Amino acid sequence: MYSKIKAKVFTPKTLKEYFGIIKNLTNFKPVAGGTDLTVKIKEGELKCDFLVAINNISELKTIKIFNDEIYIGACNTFSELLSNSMIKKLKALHNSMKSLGSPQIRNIATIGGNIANASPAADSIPALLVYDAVLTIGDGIKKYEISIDKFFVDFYKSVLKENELLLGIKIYAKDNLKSDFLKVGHRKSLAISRLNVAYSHIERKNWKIAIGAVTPFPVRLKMIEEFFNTADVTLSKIKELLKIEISNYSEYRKSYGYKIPVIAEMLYKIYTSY
Amino acid sequence: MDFVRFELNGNKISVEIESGELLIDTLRNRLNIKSVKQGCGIGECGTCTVLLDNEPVCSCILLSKLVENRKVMTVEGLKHSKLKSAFISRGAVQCGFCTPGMLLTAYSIILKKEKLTDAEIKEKISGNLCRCTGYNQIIEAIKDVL
Repeated sequence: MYSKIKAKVFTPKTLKEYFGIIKNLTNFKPVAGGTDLTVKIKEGELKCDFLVAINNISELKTIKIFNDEIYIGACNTFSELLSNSMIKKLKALHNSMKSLGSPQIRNIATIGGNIANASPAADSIPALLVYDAVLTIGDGIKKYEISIDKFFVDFYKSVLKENELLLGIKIYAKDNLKSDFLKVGHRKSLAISRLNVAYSHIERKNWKIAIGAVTPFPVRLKMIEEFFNTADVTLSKIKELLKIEISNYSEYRKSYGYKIPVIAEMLYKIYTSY
Repeated sequence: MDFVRFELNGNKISVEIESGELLIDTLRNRLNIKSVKQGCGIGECGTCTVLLDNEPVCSCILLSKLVENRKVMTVEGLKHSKLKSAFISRGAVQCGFCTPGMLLTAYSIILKKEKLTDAEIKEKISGNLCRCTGYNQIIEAIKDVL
């Protein structure tokens, strides 16, 4: 019923080893936990000759906190991040990870994998968007940083090149930043988001709002963010703006008949609940 | 062919595997550990749950190479008679198909020795689907041991 995974698996212990191995490979994929990747291969959606496991590379598991800046290594599992007391304060990120998959998935799946897989419904991404997260990408020789809202280009597609690896995520979160993440799914666990909303604000100013599982990749709602800074927020105006914003990323889909009113209500509730 | 070294139910072993083999296949087909069952095969039901360093994981989507030097536990290695009796006396087993995975997840909860509310127990077993019991008996059994 499922395809066998015919790839040869490498298990480098350092980044240097990783980049040395992939230099001589074609048709390979890096794998951290593999909870998305192995499923794709089993279902025949993806074929590759080599898998290069990065879950054991300690350089990818660091967590560094310096004032308002938090750096999270790409290969931290969701369980590891959920038990980190500093990251617990980032309510949007914490809650986005809390309902992702199941305990079994969270014990293996990594934040870097969630981002790099670039699913439109990936739960950590809307949260990272409202913290202005910056991604660190490297190719073994140089590193560069890119804002997460420039990282995605289409369904399951990012700017990451084959010889590049997502190394870590930087988040800036002041103490007075309030944030949260809301998810709608078919059930409370083991459910991919039908839609999700993340938001952050500082004393009801500087609103940042992101939605997932609606457009080809999660996006910030910049018009609605500005709108929330005015005094005249109504549900119908939110709905109007929402339609316009979504149309900038995607043609109308049948599911929008359900998703747009629901998201509008969620946004109105977020705005009025303070 | 490739091989992987890990600790299985307390014993250090080395198994010859296909490089991209999944843990469920290594356990069932090479090590004859038939307690590990395949449900959905894509990590969405928890039937194939085993413990990796005492934490529940889905063996159907875990590459065997990723358990190198780590500890794997299946019910064959589960020594907790109180947990097993609680499952029996509470009627937490009906068809039994989810049971190996459910027992291991329950054991990982008990190992942490925390007092948990019903809601917290439910959250911790939320990755193990059971179509028979409706979960109440399972939750009661876990509470008996906690």
